[in-house]
Amino acid sequence: MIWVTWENVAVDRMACAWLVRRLIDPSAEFVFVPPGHKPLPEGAQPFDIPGVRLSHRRGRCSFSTFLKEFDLKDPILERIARIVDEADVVQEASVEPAAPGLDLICRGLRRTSPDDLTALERGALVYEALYAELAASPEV
Amino acid sequence: MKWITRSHVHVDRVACPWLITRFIDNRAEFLFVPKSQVESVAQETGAIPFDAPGVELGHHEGRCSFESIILKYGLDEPGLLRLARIVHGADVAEDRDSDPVAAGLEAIATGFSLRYPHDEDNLAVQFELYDALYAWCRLQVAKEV
Repeated sequence: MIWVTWENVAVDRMACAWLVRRLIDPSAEFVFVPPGHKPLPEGAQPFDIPGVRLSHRRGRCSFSTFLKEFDLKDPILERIARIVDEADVVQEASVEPAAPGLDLICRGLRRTSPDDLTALERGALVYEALYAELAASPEV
Repeated sequence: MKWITRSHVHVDRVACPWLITRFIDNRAEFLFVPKSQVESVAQETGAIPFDAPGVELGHHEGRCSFESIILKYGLDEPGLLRLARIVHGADVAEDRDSDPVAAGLEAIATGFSLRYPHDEDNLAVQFELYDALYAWCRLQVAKEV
């Protein structure tokens, strides 16, 4: 399937794309449009674009919406959703210490990557590492 | 030139090779050996030891090895000094709260070490992460000026 989101990806879209490839659609193809660009490519599944089904919901990140919509029940993924919430969406309290570092590593990866697709691939390595760290830690 | 440190790298021993390769010796070759062999292998091979007990490029007076290398080689690029604060917080557990970015770097570094048990593979994949962090640091200090 083709998945579409806004270009210049950051922490939430990197997380979503990683999840899509890992658990939802291993042969996913990603395309990018400028912010606000309409219409979206026909037949493509949009994500992390304001107003679409797979986007922010009730103050939570798009990654969190993916977990709900695809019924993915994994405490580690839910923890990652909370970290991405803090990194991507303004929260009332900071309880996830990894959030600021994750946020700017992802921003930096976009700046050092030649294009959005490369940034998603590099971001996926970071999320694989984060998942491994959380899976090994006793307090998920 | 050859450089040598303890095997099973985590934060400082990934950050230091990145620093050495990008700023000091772009043809650097790294050797990773058990802690007990760092001194003897350094003598045999002429490799420069870092982040090992008792060496000049190690932890001194509260500095982590990344900071000791910056000091020794007179590196003063402001973005790099910003990165040094992050590496320090991620590497020195009691200073973890000294920088807001440190905890995330430490968590992700732990994950990379779990996923890439061979130090050479771990280094190769994490250099991209340090390039990214450094890019952000340069942008950040440029905004503060």
